[in-house]
Amino acid sequence: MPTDAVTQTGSPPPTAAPRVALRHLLGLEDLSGDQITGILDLAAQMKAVNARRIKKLPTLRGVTVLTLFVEPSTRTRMSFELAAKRLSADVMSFSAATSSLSKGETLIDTAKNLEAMGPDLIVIRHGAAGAPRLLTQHVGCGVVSGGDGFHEHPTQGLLDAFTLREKLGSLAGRKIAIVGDILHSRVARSNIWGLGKLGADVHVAGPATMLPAGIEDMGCTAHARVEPALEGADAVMMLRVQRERMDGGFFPSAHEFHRFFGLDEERLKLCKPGAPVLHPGPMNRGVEIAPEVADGPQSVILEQVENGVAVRMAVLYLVAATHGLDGRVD
Amino acid sequence: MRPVLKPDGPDRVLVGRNEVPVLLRQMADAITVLAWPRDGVLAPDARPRPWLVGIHRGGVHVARELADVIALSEGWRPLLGSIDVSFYRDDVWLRGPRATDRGTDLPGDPTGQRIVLVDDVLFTGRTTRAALNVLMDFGRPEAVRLCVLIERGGRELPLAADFAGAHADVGPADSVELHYDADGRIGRVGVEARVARA
Amino acid sequence: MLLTAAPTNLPALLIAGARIYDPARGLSDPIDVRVRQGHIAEIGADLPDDGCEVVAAVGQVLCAGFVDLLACAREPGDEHEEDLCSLSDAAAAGGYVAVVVGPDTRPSNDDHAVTELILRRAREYGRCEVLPQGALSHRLQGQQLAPIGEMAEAGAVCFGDADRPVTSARLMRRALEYARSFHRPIFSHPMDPSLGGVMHEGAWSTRLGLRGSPAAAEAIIVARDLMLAQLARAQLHFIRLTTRRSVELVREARRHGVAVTASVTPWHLTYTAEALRTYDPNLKFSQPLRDEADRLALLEGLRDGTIDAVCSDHAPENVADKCVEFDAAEPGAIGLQTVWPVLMDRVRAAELTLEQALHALVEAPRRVLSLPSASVSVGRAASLALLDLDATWRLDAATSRSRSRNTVLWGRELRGRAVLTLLRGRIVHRVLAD
Repeated sequence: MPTDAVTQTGSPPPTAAPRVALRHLLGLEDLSGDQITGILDLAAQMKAVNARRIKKLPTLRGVTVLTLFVEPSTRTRMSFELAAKRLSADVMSFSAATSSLSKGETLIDTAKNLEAMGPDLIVIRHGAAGAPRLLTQHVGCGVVSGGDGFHEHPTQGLLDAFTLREKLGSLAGRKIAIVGDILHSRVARSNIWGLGKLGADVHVAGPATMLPAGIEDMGCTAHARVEPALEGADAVMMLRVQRERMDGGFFPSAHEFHRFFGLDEERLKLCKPGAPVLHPGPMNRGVEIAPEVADGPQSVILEQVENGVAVRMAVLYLVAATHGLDGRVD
Repeated sequence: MRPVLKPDGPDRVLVGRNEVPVLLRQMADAITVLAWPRDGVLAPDARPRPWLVGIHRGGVHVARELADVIALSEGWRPLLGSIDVSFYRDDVWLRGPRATDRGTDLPGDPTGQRIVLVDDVLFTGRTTRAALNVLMDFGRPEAVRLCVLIERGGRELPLAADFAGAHADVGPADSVELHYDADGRIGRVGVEARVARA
Repeated sequence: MLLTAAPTNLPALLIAGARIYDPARGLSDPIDVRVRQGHIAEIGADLPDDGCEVVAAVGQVLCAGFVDLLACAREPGDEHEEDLCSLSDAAAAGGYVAVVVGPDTRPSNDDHAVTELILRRAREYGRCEVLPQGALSHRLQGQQLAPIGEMAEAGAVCFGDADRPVTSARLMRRALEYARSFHRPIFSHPMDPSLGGVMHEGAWSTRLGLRGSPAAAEAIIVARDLMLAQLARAQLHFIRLTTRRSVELVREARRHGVAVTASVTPWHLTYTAEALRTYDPNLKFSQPLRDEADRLALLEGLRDGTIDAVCSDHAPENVADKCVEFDAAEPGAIGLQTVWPVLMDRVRAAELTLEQALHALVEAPRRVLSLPSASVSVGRAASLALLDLDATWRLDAATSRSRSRNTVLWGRELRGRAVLTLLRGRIVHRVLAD
């Protein structure tokens, strides 16, 4: 027998894949580590589809996805819509300036109106924390949060975990630094939950004005300076500083923020060699991140964008399929 | 004439440990002499070398063992591929979403290739339908044949295997299951009561 | 002040077998009480029915009706949410015979004409004594003193700017001083708005992504107002204290002789910020739910007398104002009918004694307002509540008397209920036995 004839993969006898039911995705706080791993595994399959010549699956044919964005975000919306289209779903879009929907009864009224058109799934982005949960109380279809206030941005947390897993393998015991405006960051919160549930050692850092009370109760270590968070980190995630926070209320100036809390090449050397640098975008070059770092070899920022589509395909598939079961899953 | 098998004994064994190699041998022989469009009759060394593409889960194992058998007897080893039909199923809405870490893995662009789809059991035909769609999304094969270890009754789509190792005479409440040895090779084939779909 | 002309045609009742709660004597043994011509006619063992209707009250407690220190009547201005009639009915159904109504109406009660309007409407309906709180500042804007004297003359019992912060220490000082001339307390809602948020700042606000207001936002104003009250030698009442530090500050000020009283809501004795994990806007309050340490400190304060009273903080809101994102929701919940069962839950949890709960609802609010003591004795006007300690019931469309239904307790099973309320001998609320 030729030696190459015996392809002993050592694979165990196949077993039925576990069922992953996901009625809504409102935050990573609600998921277990196993569920997150299941979603990331599924996303890896979806990513393979995105590398094919025909980048489309028939999975969600006949399913309608509504994107309801009550806070502007072109990137997240496009990522969700591309994900839906790659699964053959139909996509409806609704966007409204926060001002015209500042009263929530309008949000519910709007959602009910749009629901009458029969979407199977609503992706909602909203400036008020808890708005996606509110929506689940008033509509029958599946709800996926595309970010709510300062609460959570679960698909961003998933795509960050996915990207880190690709770069680092298992995240168990890995030191991950999240740096910048933690107080106003739903990305930070989703990552603290998500990475924590995957076993990572999460450190957050930023000016003390931007470290929210009791953040360590969520399972991370907080630092009022960035250096101890970066020291020996396996990866670093920089957060966007919103322009409107630069008016002197939380820190004196963009210049001073960059000087003490920005990620430049010198500070990056505190991390392990080659540690990937993440940023949820859009970046303020020269504020939270130096251009040389943003465009440097350790930056995985564009891969995050690519992975975002795959992760959102996985989430849409899971929620739509669970919803399709019409209550038959516990 | 392929054998018609009935489950035997208290364990309801369909294909015993010693019979599995026999069926695989017959299947391998059939694959090497399968007729392909425009070929006519060819000398053994001029015969085409199709890809063996197994359908997850069991088909992948059958394909790998078939490749081993062909490599032994023919002296060439077919290229192997695998297909995951998870995202192409028509019963996602009935069975719910499932996590999958398998994926579709082909040895190259299938366009122009001759491909033998391999599965363990041909039952309703829906998996085969989904697998064909997966294949077509990757390219345009010249021709596709279907080869299964066990063919049973219960077809819901107009599909038939080009070759089956055996026919199983089992009832609609029965499920034909492959059992594997510790090293991952097919040990025997048994019959179990089907688990009701949730 | 609780006495106006007694109506005629009053029923004669024999309330048989209840224990009487009297602030001076505590709880009595089971005894009979006869009510006739609007007054308590007779108290004694085994009284003959004598032609009276007999109310079997074994196992229940009879006391002077509750007095509430803060409810929002929404009249004038928002009668779709509540009016003085529905408020009176809800109060009576909760065991109350008198309710302080806040000045945050439309127009606000910053003028004696509005005070008189409120009193006239309430008297016409006559099912609960309504005690207007006058505004402290013109239009509740915290700039200019409201006509406290004229409103006091018209019947306002206390002054404050509802839940609008009085940011100017100078104005608060002047209000305390000026109200002293009319023997009226100032009601302070202690909150520094520049530290404001939509919930308590802490681990839960961080987790939920909601803007937090730290405990210090309240304690800072408590400390300021205590010093001002001392300076002004005036009567000060803190409505709805919520933090441990506030309780400590009040306790210390009392030791130094400051004439300060304080109240707390049943919500803050029951729930903590963790209850907001579902973003239920019915648990959003202008003084937010705090941490467990704060809740325990409030209970301790109530037990040792630092906190005098429990107030309903009844705040009716339209469904549309609650069926919204948490950030956009109006704070507050209706509460008049649920204060007693919620407080009884604290009693059942051994966090309060029955006497402490009764004192906080019966006697303490009267003292805050300098009303006559709540003794139950022969010759007193029969403004009474008969309380069942364990009766189970639900607040729903059939039982609620409020026009609004913004409470987390809507539809839930409650234990403890006012089964009979008398206002000067008139039956204003009665639960008929099944």
